Amino acid sequence: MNFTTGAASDLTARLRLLFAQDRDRSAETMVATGRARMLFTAALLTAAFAVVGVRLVDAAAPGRLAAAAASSPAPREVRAAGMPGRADIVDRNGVLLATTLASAGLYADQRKIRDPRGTALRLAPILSGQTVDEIAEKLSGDKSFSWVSRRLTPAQQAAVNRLGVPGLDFRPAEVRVYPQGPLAAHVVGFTNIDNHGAAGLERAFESSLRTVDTPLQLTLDVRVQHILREELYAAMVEFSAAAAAGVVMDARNGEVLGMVSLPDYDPNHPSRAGANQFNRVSQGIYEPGSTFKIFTIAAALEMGVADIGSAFDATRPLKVASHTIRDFHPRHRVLSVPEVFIYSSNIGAARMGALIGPQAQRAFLEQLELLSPVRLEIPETGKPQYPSAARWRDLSAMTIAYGHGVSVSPLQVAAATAAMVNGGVMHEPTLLAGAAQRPGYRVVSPRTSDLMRRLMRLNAVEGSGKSADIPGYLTGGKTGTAEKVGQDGRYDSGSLVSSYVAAFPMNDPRYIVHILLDEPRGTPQTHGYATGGWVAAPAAGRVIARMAPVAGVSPVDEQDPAILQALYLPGWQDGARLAAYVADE
Amino acid sequence: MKAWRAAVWGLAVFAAGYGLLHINFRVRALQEEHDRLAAAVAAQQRDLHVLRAEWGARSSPARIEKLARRFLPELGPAGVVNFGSPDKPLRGDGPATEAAAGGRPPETGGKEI
Repeated sequence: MNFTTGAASDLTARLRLLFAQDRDRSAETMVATGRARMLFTAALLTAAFAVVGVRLVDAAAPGRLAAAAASSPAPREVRAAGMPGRADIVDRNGVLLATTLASAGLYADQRKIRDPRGTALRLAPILSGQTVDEIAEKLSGDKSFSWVSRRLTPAQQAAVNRLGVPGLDFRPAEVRVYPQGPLAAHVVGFTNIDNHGAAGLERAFESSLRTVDTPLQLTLDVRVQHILREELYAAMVEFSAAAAAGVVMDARNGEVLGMVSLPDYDPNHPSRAGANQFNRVSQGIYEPGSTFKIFTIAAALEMGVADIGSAFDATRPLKVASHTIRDFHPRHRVLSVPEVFIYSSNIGAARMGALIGPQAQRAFLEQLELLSPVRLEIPETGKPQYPSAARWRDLSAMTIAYGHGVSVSPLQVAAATAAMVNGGVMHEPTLLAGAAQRPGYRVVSPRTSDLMRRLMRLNAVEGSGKSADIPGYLTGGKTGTAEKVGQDGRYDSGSLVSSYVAAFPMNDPRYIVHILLDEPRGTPQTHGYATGGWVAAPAAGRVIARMAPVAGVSPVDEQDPAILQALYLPGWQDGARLAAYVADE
Repeated sequence: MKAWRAAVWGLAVFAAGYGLLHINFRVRALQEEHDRLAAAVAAQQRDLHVLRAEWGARSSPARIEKLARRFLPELGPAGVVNFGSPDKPLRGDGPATEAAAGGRPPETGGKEI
């Protein structure tokens, strides 16, 4: 027992010694490791502080900061603090169409105004457009804030300030300004009192105009816009028209260079706009009349139901069901395709429409985007009117062939005409610079387009478009005259929509000019006629004559062999001109 | 050794402090200069903006045409003949200037119609 106890205590003592030695060794190791780590950390911190210190001394060295500032990149030009916060709108050449200026609003603390009537009497001469009673009402009461005028000019602000009336104070405001006035009112639109877009591009691009610093650049050219507006106004006055619409478009890419709807309004005073806000170019829907024969003949040529030498019987009015289709200038004979075009034969076009057929005609017009609302950047677009597929039968095909029974906007007619003469490619019209980079799509073959160019040129030389033929510019086009539907639902022969759609130069068309007059009246100079050839074509000619130099289109020698060849129409100019049918003229 | 070390550290702290203060003062000065320049730039941008708007109204085609009617009555829109070249005369020359363009249209003066 004792042995056992002694041995155990000995073993315990040995073990303790062993553990103690081991613990000592472990403690030494830990201390050594800790020292090494501390040394390492100290070295690291010393190095870091040394680097920071050296860098501080280096940075603080005389001239060093200035050199660093000088070598920093130039600050980007940004909208400075206090600059109005809505982007400008400019034309294709950077001419300002809309901008925002800093302004001030006048408000009153009614509790501090001792003599509202007396103050109103002093304010009235400064605040034009408000009566003494109106101002006095705004000054009377117990409100701490009451607007007196939301927008003051700097001169008005100074004048009010000079009055020194306690209780009147100013609040910074912004005012949207349209330096060109009504020139492009229907395109640019306007903003409301809170500077939110209310119409036109101002409304369509509300968010981007607020967030982007760069100006919104349009395809419009203020020079072309001005010419178009002046000439449209002249025609409207001359023929006592109720309204007028005009568009100038680049035939190669759909860019709109000019878009005018009259009567118009000044976007600087939108409250006076009233019904004049209506945009007759993109929103107005009109029966196009004979300008639609461009598309009928193009469809017939493209589909092969007629060729340039085909003949159509126009000897007598065409009776279809209860309808009788007549020519405005009847020839009472068989007409060739060019004659149907230049004499604007409704009978010939109707016969072509019947050959094309309702379904093919509808499909063709759909391709030309004449049956859907025009896709334009502004929200003011109209919806075309046409028969439903079920009701689009032979009679519809015949009347639509000469532009009756279907209503489209003038802009759509211009865009579709562009596709007919530019080689056969349809481009959506656009108002935004750069948007025209979108590729178009083919609607007719280059051959059909080439024939249409020659036909339209022929119409300007020998047909109803003579008054729009400006020497040197090789104009071509088609007139259109449609009767408006009266109160009784019948066509009213005394109420016309007269138009002319032109292209130039016809050997390589660059621009489309479309002029439309709503309810023009004939004059003694036009022998009482108010048709497209008498009232719209001359205006289109004047627009072309004035805008061509601006647009960089040089006049050419019309007798140049290359020009003659480009516009030669087989079977027309060579003496063999419709010999079989000329005898009865 | 300890004294040397303390002296070195003291010098380093002093140098760093001096450097920081120096930078602080320079940065403040530059910031004030920047603010002054930014304010001047903003003021000039506002002035330019107003001038651009005014120029836009002053150079509108309607106004220029109105002035041309008043001060240059003998001038009219360019006609075809204005663009002929001596080596390639136009055979279909029309009358020059206003007549070629169908005469001047009634003046709108840029006002709403």
